[in-house]
Amino acid sequence: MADPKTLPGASGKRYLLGRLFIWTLLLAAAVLYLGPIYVVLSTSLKDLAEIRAGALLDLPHELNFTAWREAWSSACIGVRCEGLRPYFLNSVIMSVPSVVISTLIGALSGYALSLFRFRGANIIFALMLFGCFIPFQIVILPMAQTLGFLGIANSITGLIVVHTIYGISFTTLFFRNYYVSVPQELVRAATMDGAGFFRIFWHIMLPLSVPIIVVSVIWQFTQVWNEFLFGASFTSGGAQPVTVALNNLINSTTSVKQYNVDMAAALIAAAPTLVVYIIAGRFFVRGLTAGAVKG
Amino acid sequence: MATISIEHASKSFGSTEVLKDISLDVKDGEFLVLLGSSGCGKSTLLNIIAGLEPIADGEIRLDGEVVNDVHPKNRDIAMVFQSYALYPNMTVERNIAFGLEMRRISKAERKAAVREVASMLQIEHLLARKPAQLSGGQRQRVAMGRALVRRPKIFLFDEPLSNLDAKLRGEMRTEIKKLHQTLKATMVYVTHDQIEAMTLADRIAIMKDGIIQQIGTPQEIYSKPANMYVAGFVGAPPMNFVKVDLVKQDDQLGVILPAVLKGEPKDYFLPLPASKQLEPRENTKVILGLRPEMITHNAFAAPNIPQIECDVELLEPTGADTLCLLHLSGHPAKARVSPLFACNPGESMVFSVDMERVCLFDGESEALIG
Amino acid sequence: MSNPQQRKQMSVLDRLQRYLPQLVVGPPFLLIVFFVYGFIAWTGFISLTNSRMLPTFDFQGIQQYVRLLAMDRWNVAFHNLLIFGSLYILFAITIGCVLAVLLDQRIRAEGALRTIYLYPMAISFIVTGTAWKWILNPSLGIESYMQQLGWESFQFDWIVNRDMAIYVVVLAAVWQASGFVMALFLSALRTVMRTLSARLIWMAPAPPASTSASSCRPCDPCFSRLSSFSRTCPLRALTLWWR
Repeated sequence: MADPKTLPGASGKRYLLGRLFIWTLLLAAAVLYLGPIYVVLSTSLKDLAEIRAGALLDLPHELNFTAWREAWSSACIGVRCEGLRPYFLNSVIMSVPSVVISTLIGALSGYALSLFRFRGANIIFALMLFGCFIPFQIVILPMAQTLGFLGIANSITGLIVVHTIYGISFTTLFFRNYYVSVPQELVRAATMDGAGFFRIFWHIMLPLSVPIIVVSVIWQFTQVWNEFLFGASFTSGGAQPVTVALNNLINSTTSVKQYNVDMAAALIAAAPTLVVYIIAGRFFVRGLTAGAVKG
Repeated sequence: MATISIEHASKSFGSTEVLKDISLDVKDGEFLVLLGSSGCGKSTLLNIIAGLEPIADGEIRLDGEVVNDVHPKNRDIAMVFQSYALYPNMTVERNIAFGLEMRRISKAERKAAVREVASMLQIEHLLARKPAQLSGGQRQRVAMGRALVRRPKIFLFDEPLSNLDAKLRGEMRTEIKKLHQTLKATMVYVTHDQIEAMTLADRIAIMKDGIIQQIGTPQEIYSKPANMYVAGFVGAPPMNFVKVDLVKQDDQLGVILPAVLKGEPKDYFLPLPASKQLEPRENTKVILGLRPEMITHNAFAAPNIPQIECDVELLEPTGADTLCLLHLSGHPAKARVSPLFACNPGESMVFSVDMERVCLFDGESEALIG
Repeated sequence: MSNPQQRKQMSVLDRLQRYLPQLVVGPPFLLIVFFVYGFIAWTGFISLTNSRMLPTFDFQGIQQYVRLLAMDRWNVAFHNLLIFGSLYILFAITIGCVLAVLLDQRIRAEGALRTIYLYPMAISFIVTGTAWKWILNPSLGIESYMQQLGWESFQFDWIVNRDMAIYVVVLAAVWQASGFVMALFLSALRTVMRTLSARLIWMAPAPPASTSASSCRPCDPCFSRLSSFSRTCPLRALTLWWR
């Protein structure tokens, strides 16, 4: 809404009260949203004695990074006591190719579907879009059989394939909707200039696509990194991604519960997507609403 | 040497037929304008010549060779688009050079060609800019440069001036005409603006509903319009149409013009020149087409030119001429008179009617009959 | 010049070029067809057989469904899903909408607040679960903290209570998703206001800037558009998101 000062009847006092009310609500909400991360962070920096004392919301007496070190390199997950590190690396190895490949495929098919409206392009797009809405549970069983058939069951390669395929729907959607706002005359002009399908894509469309590439990469990265079901279903032991390892660590009942290590591990698992979000989050919303061509 | 020849071309999008059996020849070095209102199929025809749209039926030949299946890039045609379609991520220089780049022409040659075109269009100072930093007129020039730099044998223009303001449009019109005279290339130009068409064209093809209504020089189109659509589309203000009776008086064929004088209906018999040869249609209704300049004040008119006296409802001074809105019963009509002789609105005035140049149309088919 | 009657043939490359868009879309499309539609059909088919660890083709009709519906676990899960689904959607949308409207009041720190509300979306639900499990832990979490502060009777042990645990899941899920809903509503509100003000400018050539806001009174066309927006609010937000 517009500036309340200009609204009829907005006297100074009522205006101030209104502002106070809005700010109270907004700040209360902010506290609620920040609360859990604060608790997790402060717990991860406390030692076990301090945690058992029960002062959940208090700041740690001293900064103690032992739990972080342990979560990263020596905590026991199943029978292996190497911390989250190998699983974290698994997740990196898994998400980078999935993100890059699915974004590239989405860009190409979005480009073909929006700027070359061949017969049936809209139907194909609608059918592909449906892939955005499937609950993954429904494909677990056939996927497990297929991965076994392809010989990539229980491997990071298998997860890369799975994430790439189920990312295509989203990336195609992003790019198609972005390129729809590109005037068709641009493609015609480039065709007259002698550029073919791929050269138009490479020389003209890709340079225009930075905002939507950012959207696609952020979206795919958070999806793939945070995914749990496929990781838990298709991998075991050393091939697991970090989310599965975190879950195993927290639910392990082998030793004394080390809450500070659990919390540090949770933060380590969440760190990459949080960093991406904090750095590039505003480009995400901006890119989604941006039109492609100005001028 | 570049001729275009289209034979029996048809095209439909879904169930709408946008081109119906079009045949058209463009001579070498000719400037042909495709004129029509939006949706008449003129842009589709242009895209078919360019190769951007496949043709459903018929043949298209360039220099006598059938090119139906030839890719646009191999047709040696350049095109200027309505939205200019400049590549937003590239500088002006690269925009112009892109076609050469795609044809793997060396960097040095590209640079030289761009310089030459840029100086011709006076855009050298803009070469380093991006399209977003240019004004509409400058973008238009860059778009022209992109077409020129390849020295194609055929140029196509798709309403290139319709996004410019009136003043700039006039300037660019002159430049395009000059360009055509310098390059002597074959050009096909699509527009809905009849003034652009009249000023630029060697020949005009007027289209409506996917059919070419008439092809001819601007003068032919203006003075001998094939039908009422063409007659009404070309000329500003448009031709006046009056439904009249074709009768014989004193052994001379003529029409009865129903005018209004001092509020009372008054019919005038206007004899037709013998050259019209409309005797078979005696005693039928026809449509008389009168351009405003055919009805004018009678100050210097020869005595044998028929005259009418008629009420004038209002005046539209345009500077050089004044347009008088005549009171003909049932048909408002405009006359073009010198401001020196215009009467006051509401008064009546004597006009002479140039019956040698009038057009007569069939009341049913709307085709020209004399 | 060659014989004018002879048709210039398209080169193989040109022919290929013409079908490139289809050729490029083809493989990803087929992947989706196989891995989405095919797998759904596959799962559907297996559900009609008596497969155990390995799939068999022993067709049994809807017998597995009958068995499933008779299972106690199914009933519990279904009941929980109903509770979770309805409460989650209700609260996420309500809170998201309220936050969006509040944030849309020309708040100075809007960017920072938006980031705070939205960050849970970036986190894996495993992490979210870990955090909330810890906070709601009765012996060391928020319950014991409040009791230590002197509120002896404070009790919040839903997480260990079989009947209440599902509501805790709702709590964590709403915490995670409501910021995202807020972002959707906010962008929808902004888009509507932008088209609205563009329309206002278009209708009245030069409205003084200060009155453009106060001109939105009942029975103005813009007001009716706003109210129609609020009726279709959730739908609009989604369509704007997917565009």
